[in-house]
Amino acid sequence: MELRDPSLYAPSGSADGAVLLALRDPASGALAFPRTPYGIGATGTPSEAAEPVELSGRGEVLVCVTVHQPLSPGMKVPLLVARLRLEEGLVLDGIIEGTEEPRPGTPVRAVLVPEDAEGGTRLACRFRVVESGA
Amino acid sequence: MTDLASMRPVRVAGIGMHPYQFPTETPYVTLGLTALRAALADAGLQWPDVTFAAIGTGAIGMAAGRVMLRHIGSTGLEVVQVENASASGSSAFRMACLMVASGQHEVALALGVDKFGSAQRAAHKDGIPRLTPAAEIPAVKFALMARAWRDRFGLTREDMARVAVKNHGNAARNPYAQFRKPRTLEQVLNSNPVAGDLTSLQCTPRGEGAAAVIVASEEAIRRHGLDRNRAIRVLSSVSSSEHAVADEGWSLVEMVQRSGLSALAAAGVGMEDIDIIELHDAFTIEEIVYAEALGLCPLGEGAAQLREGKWDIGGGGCAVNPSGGLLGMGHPIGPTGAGQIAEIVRQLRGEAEGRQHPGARTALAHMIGLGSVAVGHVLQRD
Repeated sequence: MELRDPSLYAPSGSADGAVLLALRDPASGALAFPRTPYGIGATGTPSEAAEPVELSGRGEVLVCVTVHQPLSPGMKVPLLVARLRLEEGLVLDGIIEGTEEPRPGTPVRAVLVPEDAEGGTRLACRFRVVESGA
Repeated sequence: MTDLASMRPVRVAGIGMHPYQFPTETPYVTLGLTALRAALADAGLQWPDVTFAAIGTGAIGMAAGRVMLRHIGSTGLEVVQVENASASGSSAFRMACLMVASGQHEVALALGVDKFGSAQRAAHKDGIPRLTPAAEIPAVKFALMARAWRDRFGLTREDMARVAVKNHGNAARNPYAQFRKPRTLEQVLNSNPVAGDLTSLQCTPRGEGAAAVIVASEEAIRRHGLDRNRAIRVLSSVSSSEHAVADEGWSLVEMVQRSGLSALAAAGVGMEDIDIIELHDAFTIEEIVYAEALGLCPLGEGAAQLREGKWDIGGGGCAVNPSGGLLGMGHPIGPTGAGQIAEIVRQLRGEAEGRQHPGARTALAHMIGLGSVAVGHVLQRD
């Protein structure tokens, strides 16, 4: 099945896991997600001088809320939106699987799940709560 | 960097509004000219006296100023259009102030005008896909902020809802406001859930309107025989954008703090001198977070101050958003920042009938815009 946003993520090779596609500044180690043709904002490094890297997709929830109303065309609610800190240190926003809001500090991992969209079903990136002991 | 205090004094000579309202078929020209004519009448100036106009708008389109202003007279004045997201009107006001302060012009106009519906966001044109576009929707972004503050500081749903109760109450007394009904805590809490703990009455409405502010030099005030006692001095004007900070992505709050404190420092006043703040409360959480960031109270104490009525008109302290703010007065984008200035001028003159904050002498107007950008002004009556 095709990925919805192949420039953002890729299969990790482990079941339905996903890695996130980022750029790294070789000099400082600064990261940027997603990869863009514009470079790394934190350091001003142009993309040609940056190296593509894969982020593990693992991290923790900083905060999560339920969206109750469809606030944009096609949005299906209830929807869990979370601010996450990846284990590499980057902070980003993502969608959490399910309908139960995870507490701050809850570990999550990126997974690829089928999503119906215009043009057919594609694999989209979601974050799944990592059960203790998993 | 040169600040306003070291340049020629600038005073607000006239203010005018077209009430904010839900979207209608009224052309923007009618909205804008209504506000402009009111500002000219308020100042006691004629249109040809104005030699510079900054038009703040987010959605009207190219050449909004000339298309509108030719109907009041093509006088050859300098016209520019200012788009700075929600801070468009604030930036137009800043530009008008700088034009007078620098000696480029004697009388300058800042006019914010907008219609809802046709604004386009550059963020949708940067060619970068998002992991979740939902998080960039303002209601979601600020619902996340509200939840983070709940987790950090114990802020409750009721604490946030009290911002809406206060500001809808203020708006009910403001003839230029979009919402004119006082709301109870129960009504706010029981309105439609939107995202996280935010309900519909805790979110700014969509709308349209216009606000005009005319600024003048001391020389122009003398030459035109204007009432100097009603001409409110602009002490400072600052503008900035976000710094990257390593704080869970809340760099917006750091920006508000930095720009607000910079506006106060440039004016030579402290927060203890401020009697009125008009700030960006598109969502209830913002008023609490930004008021704390600006130093109105220690971090984490905003909710208690609200509960005690300290931010009310006549509450004995600094009145926050006496206009009704973006929540109650409305947020038509282009006019919003100029409308804050109009409200502050009315308050500092003692002319805010029905919602006058007693003894108001010094005020801070603080606006943020998508991006994020921040614009701050301090005004004071003599």
